[in-house]
Amino acid sequence: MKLKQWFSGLRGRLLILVLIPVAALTIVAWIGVKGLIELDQSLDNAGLVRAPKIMSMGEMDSAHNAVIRWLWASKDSDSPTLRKKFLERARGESSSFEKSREHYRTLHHNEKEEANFKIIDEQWNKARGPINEAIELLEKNNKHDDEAARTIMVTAIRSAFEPMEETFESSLQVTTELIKTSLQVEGDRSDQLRSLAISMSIAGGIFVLLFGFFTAARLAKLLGSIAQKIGDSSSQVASAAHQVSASAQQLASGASEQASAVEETSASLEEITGMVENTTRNAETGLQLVEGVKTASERGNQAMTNLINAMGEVLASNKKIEQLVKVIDEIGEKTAIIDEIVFQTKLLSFNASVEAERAGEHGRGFAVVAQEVGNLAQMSGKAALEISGIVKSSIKEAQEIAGNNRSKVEKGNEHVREAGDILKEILKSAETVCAGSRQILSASKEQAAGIKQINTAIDNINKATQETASTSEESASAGEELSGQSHHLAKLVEDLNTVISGHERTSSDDIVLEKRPQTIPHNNLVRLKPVQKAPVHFKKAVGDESESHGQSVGNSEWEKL
Amino acid sequence: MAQQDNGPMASGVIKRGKKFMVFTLGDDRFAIPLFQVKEVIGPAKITPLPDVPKYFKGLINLRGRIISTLDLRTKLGIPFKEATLKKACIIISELSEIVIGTIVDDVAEVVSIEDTQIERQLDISSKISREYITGVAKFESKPLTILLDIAKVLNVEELASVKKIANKENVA
Repeated sequence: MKLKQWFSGLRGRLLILVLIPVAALTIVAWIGVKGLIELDQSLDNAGLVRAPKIMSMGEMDSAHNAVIRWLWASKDSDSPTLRKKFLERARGESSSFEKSREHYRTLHHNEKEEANFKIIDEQWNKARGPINEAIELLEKNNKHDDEAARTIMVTAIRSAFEPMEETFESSLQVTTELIKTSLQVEGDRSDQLRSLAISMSIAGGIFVLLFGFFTAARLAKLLGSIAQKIGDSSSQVASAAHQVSASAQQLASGASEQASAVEETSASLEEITGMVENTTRNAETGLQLVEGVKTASERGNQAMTNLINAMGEVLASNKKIEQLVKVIDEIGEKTAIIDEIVFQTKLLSFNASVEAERAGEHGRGFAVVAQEVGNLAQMSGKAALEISGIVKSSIKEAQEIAGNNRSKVEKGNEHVREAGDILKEILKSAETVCAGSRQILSASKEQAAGIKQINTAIDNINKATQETASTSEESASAGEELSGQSHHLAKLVEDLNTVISGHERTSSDDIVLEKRPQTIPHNNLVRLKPVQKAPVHFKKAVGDESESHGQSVGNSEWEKL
Repeated sequence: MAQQDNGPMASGVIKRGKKFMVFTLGDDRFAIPLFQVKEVIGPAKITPLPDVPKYFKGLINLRGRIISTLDLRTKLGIPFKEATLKKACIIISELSEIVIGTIVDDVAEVVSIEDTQIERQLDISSKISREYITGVAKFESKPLTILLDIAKVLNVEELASVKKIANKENVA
């Protein structure tokens, strides 16, 4: 994350710009050092491996020649001291050869050298015996032995040395070849290294140049685009400032309209308040009236109940009448009994008359009595008949009266019930009306409270309107400020462009910038009342300015970026 | 008590006219001589008999004696009226040793009728055959009353058959 942060953006690009040549340099240096080390190694190889080989080989070559030479010299010398001296030398050479051989053996060889050395070694081993033998013989210092030594020297030693000579030659040749090729290789390598270093340097340089150019271009473009964006933004800010100013103006006019509307609302509200008060009064009056109706209907209901009770009493007395009818009926029945008695009495009187007739002259008084009894019976019968008639008519009338009463009471009851129902409905309606009136009353009261709240709200709105007016003024000044700021921003962008492109802007841009608004006319910004004409003027001024500014910036300045 | 008030009755008694029992059949008043009457009774249980003339109503039990009863209304051909039947009385008569009950609508009174009161020459039209009617009695304050001879109303044959029946009943 941190690394990524390090390599992101401009810093990263610059870092890369620095790091790439450093890396290239490092690589070149590394390659050079490596080549030098290799060169050193091959020089060491040439010095430490090839030179001792050649030296040892040369020593061996000269040693074995010297052995022969000293042998021959000792043979040829007559003086024993000389001879001895020469033989010593021959011995010394021999040991010197062996020393060199041992030294050579320790060195590193290739196959060919190994083969040559093997031949030399073998031949030397072959020759060493004869050499020692020849030396011993020569030490004896007599002719015979000399001759024998000569023979040995000519035959054995020579035959042993002859292949050695060839081998030395070829060995030297091989070594020389090796050194030659080695040098050749080193030369080639150093050439390669040089060309590599040069090419790397050139490539690195080109890359750095290209990358630098590219980065610089990118950077310039980037900054340019940023500058352009800032420029755009500044133009947008300018137009926004203009809009803010216009909005402030609209806000101001709106505020004035609002103020007048609030005034109207206040007036309307006063009217509404009056109406609501009226409504409240009416509702109270209505409530009282309805309460009156309610109590009246309740009283009516009570009266109805009383009436119903009275009707019931009438009905009860009617029942009594019916009972009376029964009593009268009973009287009628009793009258029938009287009738029967009268009938029987009549019959009795007739029979008495019959008996009196039978008795003849004696029964005459009895006949009179019987006649009287009959008369009485007849009178009784008449009376009974009359009573019966009266009873019958009484019953009929009573029944009629009772029936009429009953039907009338029933009808009356029905009417009373209807009236009661109507009264109940009236009561119910009155209650409903009462509840409605109460609701109207409470609603009116709530309305009054609501109107009060509306009043305070309107006060608040009034305050808010005033605040809006002042705020719009502030907004206008803020818009102006913003305009100035955008101008400043444009200048900064110009500076930035100068920095990016490295030369001053053309004069046209400067003219555009100098044409910047003389600032928005602050005075005609916000007035609460006379808002009609100022905004148009203001709008035009702002519009022109921002337009010219925006165009100039958009077309000339930023295009170049 | 009311002797002085009942002028006509008293005079009737004093004048010593013949005594008649007056009864009603429908709207008409009839009278029979009181001597022909043995007794008057109220409505009684009548047991009907089969295979007898229509006017022969049946038998009644009068204190242990079985008596045949006739419906005079049917016999005389007077139209039947339901309402008047209620207070029907039975006049028991003894005719030549035959005791017979006659059903009438109502017994009105016992009156003495002078001969001067009786009109024998009858030019008056009546539904009832002339042979039963002995005359018509006139009163000052009462409707005309037809005088009947009950013995003639029940002719001999009829009486015989009645007697036969009565006897048969009595034997049984």
